[in-house]
Amino acid sequence: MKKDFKYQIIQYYCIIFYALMIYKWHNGLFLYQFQPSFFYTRQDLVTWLFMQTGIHQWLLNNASSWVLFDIAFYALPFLYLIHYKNNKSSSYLSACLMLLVNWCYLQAYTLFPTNSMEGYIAWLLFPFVFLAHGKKSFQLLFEGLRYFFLFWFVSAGMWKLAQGGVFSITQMSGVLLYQHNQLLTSSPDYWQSKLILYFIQNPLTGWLLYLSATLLELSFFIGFLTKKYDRLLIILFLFFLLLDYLIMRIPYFEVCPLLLTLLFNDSNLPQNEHSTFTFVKKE
Amino acid sequence: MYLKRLFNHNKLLFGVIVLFAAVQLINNIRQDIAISPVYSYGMYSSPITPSGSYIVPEIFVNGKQLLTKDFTPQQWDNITLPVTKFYAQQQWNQNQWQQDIRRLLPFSDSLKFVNNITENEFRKWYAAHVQAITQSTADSVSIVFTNYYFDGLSFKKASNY
Repeated sequence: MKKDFKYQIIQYYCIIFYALMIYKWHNGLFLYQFQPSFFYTRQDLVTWLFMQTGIHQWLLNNASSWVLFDIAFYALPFLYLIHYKNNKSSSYLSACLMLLVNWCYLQAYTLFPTNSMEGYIAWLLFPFVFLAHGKKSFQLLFEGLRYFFLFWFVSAGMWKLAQGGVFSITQMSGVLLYQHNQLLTSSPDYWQSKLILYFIQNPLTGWLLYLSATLLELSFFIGFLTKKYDRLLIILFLFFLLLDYLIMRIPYFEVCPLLLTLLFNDSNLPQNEHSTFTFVKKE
Repeated sequence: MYLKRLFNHNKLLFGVIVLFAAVQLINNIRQDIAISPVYSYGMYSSPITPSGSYIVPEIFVNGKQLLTKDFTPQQWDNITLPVTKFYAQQQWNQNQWQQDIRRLLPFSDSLKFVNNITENEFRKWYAAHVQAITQSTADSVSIVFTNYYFDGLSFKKASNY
């Protein structure tokens, strides 16, 4: 079992998932803690189809439904891990269930004023990858997820070029004033307020920070050409997450599972994994 | 090449991945409505110039203002997002229904897409919500929207309303 690449990925997926679960619980972000009473319709064609089922309205002011949804969402990765460990051939059933639950939970959860759907993309896409039957299919879908991750980050940089934010010297000042007006008005003497205020009062320094973030995002393009720098991209991404938290106060940690695609690209796999995939080619 | 290996391995998987990539690209280029799991990641990419004024929601529990610094970013979002979203949701949801949903989908009933919560119900819910986050007993919870302007050095209060 130790040499099973898919099992290894599921394990790491669960570790990240449950670490983030504790983080969310600490911040009162379980459904049973948030206790939604209204929703905010998102501009998303699939979400509108989901809303037609009425599940999001069933979850309003309904304590038992929150507990049911929380239990299903937070239990399934572990159940899937156990299922896969004990019976690989039928484990796609629990992967299927996890896919369904993740989609329903997140579609409803992000309709309530807590977070945006985009940040939860890893929990939406990973179950698709787990559905893969056979080692090579899994490996190829996992690799596809790596390209998605690269695209996601590069596109964020491209948007800044296309929309023109990066060409405005006052961009970062404007962003910080908009993002942090509550912090700056309620807690002006706090260390984080002073740091943010420094970037606002020095627009050129702030713009250089914005430009650096844009270049960092664009640098992920190298991942389309070679896997040689994937470890460096991981460090850059973690650095980005840290600064996003410290300067923007945006906790984007839910995308962390996607880092697994850079950490376990096939050039980082142990040699025996390579031979396993070569061997499994006939399936 | 990845796509070639995928094509040789499984034509169906190849089709699914190429379709997903194509929709992702086209959706980004057209800057269209999202189609989960296809989204645009363009947050703060449009030029944003410092504004003349900022309307800031301030929450008071038992007459004392809650301070952003005392909460994690997620906890603070949990405190303020319900307020800002509640006061925007009625018009926003109605616009979504009028302008896009009923135009693009064959639905005739707006009830699934708009809320029927009243302001009194929201305020009652919100008082309990804030008490749960702050883990305190609140005799009063009030929401004030204050108008601030930035004078180049710090925020200054303009007026309350």
